[in-house]
Amino acid sequence: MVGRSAQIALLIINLGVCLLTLSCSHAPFSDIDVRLLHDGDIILRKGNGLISNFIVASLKDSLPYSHCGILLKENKEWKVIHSLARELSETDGVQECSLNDFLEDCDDSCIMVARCKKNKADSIITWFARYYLKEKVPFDYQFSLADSSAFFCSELPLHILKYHCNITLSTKEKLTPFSIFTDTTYFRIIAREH
Amino acid sequence: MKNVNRFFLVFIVSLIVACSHTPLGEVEKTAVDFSKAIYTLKLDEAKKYCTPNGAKLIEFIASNVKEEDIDVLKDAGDVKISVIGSTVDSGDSTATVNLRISNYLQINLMGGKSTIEKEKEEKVDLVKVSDKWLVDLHK
Repeated sequence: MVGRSAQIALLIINLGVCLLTLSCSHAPFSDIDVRLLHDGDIILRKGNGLISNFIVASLKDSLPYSHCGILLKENKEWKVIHSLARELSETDGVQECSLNDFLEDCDDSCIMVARCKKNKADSIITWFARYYLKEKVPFDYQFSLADSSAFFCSELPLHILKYHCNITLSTKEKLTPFSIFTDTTYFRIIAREH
Repeated sequence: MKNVNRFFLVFIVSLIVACSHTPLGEVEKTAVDFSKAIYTLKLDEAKKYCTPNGAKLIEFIASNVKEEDIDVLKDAGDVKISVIGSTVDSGDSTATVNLRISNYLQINLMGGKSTIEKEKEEKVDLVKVSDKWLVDLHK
């Protein structure tokens, strides 16, 4: 009798492990430990489609990323606040999605997470990301860093860093490349997958 | 003798027509026509080869095309597109075509200048919708 109960218990445990494995296999972030993530981290990805390829080719950057956003935890779930054009999502401009949705179309898990080293930057970045989300800032089709009335994807963290953390990240290029987030003066790389 | 020649001609033409209507022939033609439309900035035409979601993504490309891109394209000459390989899944519902694209316009989506580039390889995914192969464009 005891043996049979033990067998049933083992069966249930096995079933649980199988279900857990199945659900985890759908998470594109499986190779990066989510326990390493922190509010205010900047997450970068490369999509696997034509638009992402065009963006990477347009930037001519040393790193192949095509999009970025700001990580924050809400109700025990990781979310990303980011800015996308209306043609690429259902909402125009600054918006929020789950981490899994953000990484859904990633190219061979091409992901990086960078954390600003400056003291209290995490809470400032998170607070202002939520603020611009609430403000429904539209997408910046002009790709101009000079104008804060609209944001393209990297403009959102760059604007917060510049005007609220006093960190100006500038390069010779007209468009700031994503590799700026690997500048070890200001950032620590938390995770990189590609 | 004349009849025999005519028979062979009809046979060869039929063979060519039949081959172009195989799933592989259809997906390759759709992928090539779609890419040709994209790289010659015939974006409305490109939309016709796409799923509705893909057509929305083409609109993003269109919103970034500038007058000077058209000038760059005019000076470049013809884009060349050839099929490297293609596969249709066993369920006959999805397919992938790998293309080699030469002398193409690299559209700059970040406000910069578009340029003519030598050569690249590109993967085009397709999905069958109501018996028609459509390009399944991703972000």
